[in-house]
Amino acid sequence: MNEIQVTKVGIVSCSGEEIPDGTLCRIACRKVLDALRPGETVTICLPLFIAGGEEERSFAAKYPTITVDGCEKLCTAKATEMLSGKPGKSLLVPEILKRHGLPAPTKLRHFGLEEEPAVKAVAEEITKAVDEVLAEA
Amino acid sequence: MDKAKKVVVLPCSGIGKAYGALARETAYELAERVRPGVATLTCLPLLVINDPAARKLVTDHPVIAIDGCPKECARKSVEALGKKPAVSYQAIRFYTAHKDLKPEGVAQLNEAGQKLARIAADELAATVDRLAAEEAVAQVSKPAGSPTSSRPGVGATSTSEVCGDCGLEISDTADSKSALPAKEEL
Ligand code: SF4
Ligand code: SF4
Repeated sequence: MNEIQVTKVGIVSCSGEEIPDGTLCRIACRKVLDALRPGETVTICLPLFIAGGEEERSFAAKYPTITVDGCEKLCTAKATEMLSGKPGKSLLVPEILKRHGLPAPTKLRHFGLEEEPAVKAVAEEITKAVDEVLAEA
Repeated sequence: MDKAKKVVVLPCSGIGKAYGALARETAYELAERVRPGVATLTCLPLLVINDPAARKLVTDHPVIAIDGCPKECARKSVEALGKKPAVSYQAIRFYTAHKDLKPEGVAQLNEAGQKLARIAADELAATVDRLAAEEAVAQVSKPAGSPTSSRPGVGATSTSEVCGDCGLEISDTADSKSALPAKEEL
């Protein structure tokens, strides 16, 4: 009998409370998790790599993981590599916006129509990365 | 900026739960509307990667940690730096005090959740004021060159209860003078 292996991709978002691009990260990641690739993706709250236990720290070992960061500090990519495992892909929001010719968001919260193109662009790039990781798995 | 007038409000980075979103929204309310210029945000993940500037901000000023679930990532991330938050809450406590406002949504909170965050931030304003005032006094009374870290854990008490609605543990390290009343008073 053939065994069907269901592979899921881990998405870890920076939370960027202080920076609008961090909010963009979170919203775009949720869009992928909830609407674009709900069956193929899982996530974890980043600080659980410190506050959680072994189970949480093994996240990147268990799932091929994509990190998404809101700025050059690259908190998610660094924390994932340091505490869990090397990410399969690391995305940076300002680079994505630049590629799409979109302005950076200016609000920390309550995103609306104005931010929709940026959310869409980042979510699409995350989705593309998910599909690539799944294809490579 | 006057160092003595900062109170760090540190919400957890919850990406999977409405109460994580409520924690963050309450922090935004404090920093943007209720006490702008005093209530100060930083990205919690910066503490995870041990960023020197974020580390200094958190060790130099009183911290209010607001967490989205009993994992208490914000509180534990501060404690990992060897400091106790002056006050810490689990956001579900805001809901148990105002059960007509059920927070829903993770990426963006629903209207009830946003209203609850506004109320919680208003209730926390007095705590921010007190911590800022105590910090100012501490700054004046400290000899030059001494550490500026605020009274870690001083006057703090730990309580642990279980929410009657969802069974989540509510454990607060709450200063006895906290503006937000203890759960049994709500
Ligand atoms: S990567 Fe930048 S926006 Fe994201 S949590 Fe770190 S400092 Fe904040
Ligand atoms: S306290 Fe809970 S909701 Fe908040 S970041 Fe940690 S695990 Fe996520």
